[in-house]
This record gives sequence, C-alpha cells and structure tokens, in this order.
Amino acid sequence: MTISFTVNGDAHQVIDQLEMPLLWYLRDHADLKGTKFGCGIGQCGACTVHLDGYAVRSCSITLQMLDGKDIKTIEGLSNKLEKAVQTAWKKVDVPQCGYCQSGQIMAASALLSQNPNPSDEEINKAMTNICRCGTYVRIRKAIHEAADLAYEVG
Amino acid sequence: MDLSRRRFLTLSASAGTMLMTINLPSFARTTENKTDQMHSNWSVYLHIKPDNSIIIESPVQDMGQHMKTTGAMMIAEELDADWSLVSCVAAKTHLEKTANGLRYKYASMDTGGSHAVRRNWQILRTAGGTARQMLISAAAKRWQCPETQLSTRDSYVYRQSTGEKLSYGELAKQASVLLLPDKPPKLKDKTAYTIIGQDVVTVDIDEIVSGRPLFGIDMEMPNMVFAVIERCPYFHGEIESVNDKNALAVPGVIKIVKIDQVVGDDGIKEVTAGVAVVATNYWAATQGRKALEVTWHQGPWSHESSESLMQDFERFCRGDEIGRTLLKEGDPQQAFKHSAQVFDECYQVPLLAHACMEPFNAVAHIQGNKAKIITGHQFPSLVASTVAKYAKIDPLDVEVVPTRMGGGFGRRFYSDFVVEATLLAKETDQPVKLVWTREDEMTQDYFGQSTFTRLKAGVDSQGKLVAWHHRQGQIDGSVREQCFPYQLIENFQVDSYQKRSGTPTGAWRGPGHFQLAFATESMIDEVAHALNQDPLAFRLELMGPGKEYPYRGYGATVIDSGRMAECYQKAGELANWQKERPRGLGLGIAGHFTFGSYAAFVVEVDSRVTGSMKITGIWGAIDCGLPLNPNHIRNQMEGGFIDGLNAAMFNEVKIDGGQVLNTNFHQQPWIRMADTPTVFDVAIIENDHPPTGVGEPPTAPAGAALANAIYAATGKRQRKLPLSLEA
Repeated sequence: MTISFTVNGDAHQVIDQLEMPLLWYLRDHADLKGTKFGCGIGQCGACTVHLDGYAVRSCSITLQMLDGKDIKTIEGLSNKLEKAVQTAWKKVDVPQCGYCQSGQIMAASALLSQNPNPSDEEINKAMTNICRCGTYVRIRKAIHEAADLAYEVG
Repeated sequence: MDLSRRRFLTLSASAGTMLMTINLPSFARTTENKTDQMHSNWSVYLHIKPDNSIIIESPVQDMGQHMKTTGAMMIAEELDADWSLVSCVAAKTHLEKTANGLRYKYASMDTGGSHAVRRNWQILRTAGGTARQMLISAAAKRWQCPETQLSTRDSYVYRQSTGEKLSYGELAKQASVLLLPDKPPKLKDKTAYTIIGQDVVTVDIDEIVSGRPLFGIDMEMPNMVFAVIERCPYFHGEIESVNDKNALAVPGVIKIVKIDQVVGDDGIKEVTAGVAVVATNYWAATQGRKALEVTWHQGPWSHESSESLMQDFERFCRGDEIGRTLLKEGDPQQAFKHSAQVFDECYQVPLLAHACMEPFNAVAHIQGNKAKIITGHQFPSLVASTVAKYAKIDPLDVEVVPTRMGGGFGRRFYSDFVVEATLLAKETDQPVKLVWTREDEMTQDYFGQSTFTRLKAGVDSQGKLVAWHHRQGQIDGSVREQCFPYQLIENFQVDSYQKRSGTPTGAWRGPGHFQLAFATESMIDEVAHALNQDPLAFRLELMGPGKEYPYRGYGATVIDSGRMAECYQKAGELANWQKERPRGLGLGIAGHFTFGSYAAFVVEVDSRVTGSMKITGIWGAIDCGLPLNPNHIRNQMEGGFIDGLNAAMFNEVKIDGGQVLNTNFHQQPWIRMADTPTVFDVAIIENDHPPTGVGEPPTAPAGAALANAIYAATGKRQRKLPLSLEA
C-alpha cells in the first residue's frame, strides 16, 4: 500500500513502516527537526503540527492515517498569520529552553486561524501544550500580540 | 615579558576572519569569589570579521536560564561592541589535565547552582575590556597617536581630534598580533553601560521560532545508527534473563546489547541495568524494544515506597531515630519552656520529577582511542571524563560537542545517558544516537528530595519569635539551614536525618531550597495568623533592621535581612497587599534566599468558585544585585515561580515496590496554561551589589506562597504537598 501526503507543500510517498508515528517520519526521514519529541502519548504537545489546517499531535498519528492529507510543520510556516505568530514570539521573547516552542507556535497559529482574536479563556482552552519552563505568561501575551500584528498586516 | 603572555591571539585559518583568543594569565582572578582563582589561564573566543560583525563563542551552557545570552552581553559590554552586530555560537570544549584533574583550558562552561553569573561576571567583562584595549592599541599604531586620544563606541575606535574612525573589523587583524597589556583593563562604571541593563532578546531566538536544529536530539553524524534501551524498572536491580529472538526479527534491528548496572562509590547509580536495541532507524529500535522479553532481579530495594520513606523520616522527626545536629545556637529547649506560645507542625514535600522537556540523548562515535560525543549537558567536562572512563581512553581524546539543552533543572548534571551512549558506541563501528523516551526519563530520574520537616516555634509574650527547632528527614542532600530565619531567632536548632535508600535523588532546581522554604515560610505564616498579625508586617518585623549576616552554605558568603525585607515589601506593594479583599479571595506571601539572590512572591487565590480554586494573581520581587538583562530576569521570575507552583500542585513521584509508578504525563500531571493567572507582575530591585543568578531563586517561595494564599482564602492550612485546590 502506498500512502501519499504533502509536508509543507512537498509530495511524500511511503510504503513501509506505516505504523510509524508522523513525528518520527518528520524527524528522522524527512529531516525536519523542528517538530519535537516530548512524551509520545499525545499529552505534552511538543510535536504539534497542522493536519489540513488543524493542530494535531504528530506522535499519535501514524503514516497510514495520512493518505491525501496536507501536513505543515514549523519549518513550513509561511502565511501572514503564521509569520505574525513567529514575530510576536520574538518580540515578547517567549522562550526559556525553547524546546516546546515550535509546538506552542503551531498550536497558537492554528488557534488564531480559527479564532483571530481569542480571549484569555479561549487561549486557556486551546493551548494545552506543556511548557516545562513555565513560559505561559509570555505565550499568552505573544498570542494577543500576534492577533494584533495579523490584524495590522491584514 | 612573561612568555605565557605572548601567543594569546592567533589568526584563524578561515579567510579574513580574526579569531582572538584572549588569555588572561593573572589579572582575571577576582577576589570576589575564590572559585574564580581556579583558572589562571583563561580566554574567550571572539571572531571579529572584516565586515565588523562579531561572533562570540558564549562559554556557559544554556538550558533556558539564558546564560548563552548573558555571558555574551558581559563580553560585548566591555568590548564596547554594537550588539546588533554580535551573534553567538556555543563554545567548543577545550580541556586540559592538571595535577587536580581535568579542567577547562579556557572559560568554565558549567551551569548549575545559579553560579554562572557570579563566577563569570569579573572574568568575562575583563576579557571584553582587554580586547577593546588591544583594538585601541592597534588604532593608535595605525594613526601614530597616543592611545589616550582614542575612544570606542559601537564597534568603532574614534579619534576625537580629527573625527576619524576605524571599525573593529578593520583593526582586528593588527590587534591580534599585539601583546596583552600589562595591566587589567579599567572596567566601565555602570552608568556607561549600553548593553547590560537593557532588555536583550535570547540569542537563539531565530533558531527557536523557526524550528532549526539546535538541541542534542536534533544532531546527527553521518552513517549513524539509533538505539533505545529497556531498563530495569527496579532501583539497583539486575538483568535476570533476556530473550531477544523476536526483537532481532524486527526489520531494521541490528543488534542487542546488554548493559550492566554500575553504582558509584557514593552509592548512587551511574547507569541502570538494561538491554539496548540498536537499529537503522529510531522507530525500528523502539519496535525491537517492544519485542524484547526481559525478566529482572528486583534488587535490594524492592521493599521501598515513597510512603515508607516518608514514614521513616517522620519517625526521626518524632524522636525515634537518631540524626545529626547541623546548627545549635542559644538554648532552644529552655526557650520553649519560657515561651508564651509554642507551635509544633509538620510539613511534607514528595519526591520531585525533573521532566526535562527534551528527553536525554547523545550521539557518540568511538574510533580506536578517539571519541566524539554530541550532547546537551550542564557540565561538558564531566561528559569528557565519563566517556573516557567507560571507553577506557584519555579524556583529552574525547571531543565533546555541547548543544543547547531542552531543560536541565539539575538533572543534566548527571551522566547516565552519556555512559550508555559510550557503552553502545563501543559495540559498533558506526556513530550511535541514543534517545530516551519520556517513560525512561520519568522512571530513571534522580529525583528532587522528598522531605518530612517538623518545625517547633516559640514566641514570647510580645509576639516575638524566640525559639526555633527544625527537624528534617530526607534521603540525601543539603537542608539549606543557613537560610533565614537562622540568625534572626535567638535560640535556634536544626537537626537532620538522612536515610540510605535505593531511590536515586539529586539536584532539583535550587536543591533543598524549595523544601526548606515551604516549611519555614508556612510556619512563619501560621505564627503570624495565630498572633493576629499581618503576615507581611510580621515578616518585616522578623527581618528587623537591615543587617548583613555571614552565610556558610553554598552560593554566598553573606545574607542580608534588609534585602530580603525589601523584596517582601515590594511584592506586597505590587499586589496591593493592604487592600481589603472580598471573603474567599486570599493573599499569601513567601520569600527566600537562594544562592545569593532574594525573591519574594504574593499569590492570590480565589476560593469562591465551585470545583477548583483558582490562582488569580502573582506578584514577585527579586534582588539579584545589579540587573544584567531585566527581560531574562523577568522570564525566570515567571517561569521559575510557575515551576515552583507545579511542584506545589502537581509534581509528585510515587514509588512502590522499589520502582516508579507514574511513568508519563498522563500519570504525572503538569502545570498548564489554564492553571496560571493572567495577572503576573514582577519588580526587579536595582542596586549596585554584584550580580547573582536567577535560574533557581524564583522557585523556592512558591509552595509556601500558595499554601499561605489558600489559608487566607479558606481558613484551611495545608502542610503536605501537593496542595489540594478543591474548593
């Protein structure tokens, strides 16, 4: 069986190790190291990517589930909103160790694409990724900042 | 001329790039801290390029405490560099052997104990100032004028009389062949700072927000293989039997390697017994691991549980075990007899997990008597000595490539994953990349100490604390008894009991401080409330008139009650402490001194909700001496305190039958966005004291601040972590 999907717009086809989680395909086979391994059971969100525009945890999605799907990773962030999120993250200087931040950025950009101006309560509901360094105060601030920036760039 | 001062500056081979290695043979020594004197031959690497850009090899390892940024700021400030032209890379590891063992040839690269700012403050500035002096000398030669006519600013040397300027990039080559100046450079007055004191952004920010390879787990070597290890779940257990037939049948699996446990002379595990699966890719290795059939000898500690440990500590605190008196001043027993009121309470902190976000990993390659290892570790020299020991080669033949760490918190001081990678690299000609799973990380931790503390406090008829008796049981590590309220209460005693155990414990973010602060700051609060005194005013009264006392513990030589009081006061001010809150909304305050820095926090808890109480506000104040990068000080105040709240609310390692029960985040919940308040304000107290660290100090007060807030909101006192927020 051949599974065909795209990663950041590029066509990918796989035929074996189809039970492999997308996370390890991205990291070890597609050489996209931005998606991080944190827990392997969908709890921490360090491996968050976009699947057809929605934030998903790539450690809990296997290759066989991906036929016809479009995947976007941190390396593929490109539209105005996504750039605004990255800019906001830099402006607020969110990271400490930085390891979870690509997952946080992917979760935040998915949130903002569905809800351009989320309230604190909505951010709390959507942002369930663990930051071990506890940068939540800045993540929240950066999401509001990104919402403003995206609105400005229109 | 001292020969050792001649060849400090060398041209790098790369075209047009100036590599300046500035050794500071003697004057880098500082009287501030004896540990600095270990290095008599010290340098940093500065690459000053013809285009005037500067690359600083930032020596100290970064695990999120931002020393990669702060260290470079210290150098750039005294260099008078234009920060916008500066970029930073991680320094290479250069080691040398001395009579006292292996040490860094140049700058110390270690991080831990919040020491990196304290120990590097003088030497990194001196290095930058020396480079600046030499650039001035080069310019003076070029212009044939006295150096006194020249000044520097933003990576240029200026000649005032003619208005001419030369960029550092134009001068670096000439500067590099000069001899070092005879005298140490005159360091700037803080009023002249242009970089220090500014809100500087993390030097790795672009890599982080765009997901570029940066961490150890992102690193590769050509032609490498992957390994995972099934480890003995029992502390100090051994392999009984292995059937690897099915594992070897998994496509991609190359070989199976048995690893015997090694226990160090100190009784602490160096490496756990395990069975490694080496494969062509990581996923195949994990599938091979699943297919292994392994049975284990349970080892000598299979009777142990987190509860049995706590009961043992409690027996000591009740007087049924013999301990050791760490401190005794005055006559506490007599003073209790004469006290108007005596308080006697017990406080418990469970074993604490590190849960570094990046699971441990290393890429190792051994060829003959040479080794190369890429890994994130708090102490790169320990990586070299560990690889050398297990590969049986010379440590100077180990190339250590350090990387940014996805969290450390004290756990990346230990080298078990380095031992494993070395043992596996010995078994194959190819480089091996070892990656731990989260389950590996949680079950193979060196946990933060669990403690049972009994505190007895006596007050006189005026409501003044006159006697204090602290008894504490734990497996290992420091009690931090030198911290307040020691020296503030006349009759004072600390007794400690340490219980030999198979449960591995070790450094956890400000080791011992979080546990000590939870007990002492809870008790102080209890006394204040019982005396109908305002908890903030009671603390300020206890601190008394500001006074510097000697500090005989790690990380400082003095402790100042005035500086502590100012933090309490400032945190209270930010929180609007005096403002009457509605019933059910409570404020709690706590502060602590950790490794030279003072931090105090106020927490607001709302109990007027059904279900779970909510933390609705946090206000913190820190005195870490001269503030170097306010942006990163605030970041640590936020994150460090939230880590402390996690320890107060969630972090609890459960042990039974000599093994860990909670193996991943589904069983070990962790603090998330929704648990943290939108109100979080931080004040940095500015002064001229030498700068001190911020990686650990914000964490310690969190347990007591939250417990005290819950008490203020509900009238119920909780003395055992994790605290319940059930409304």
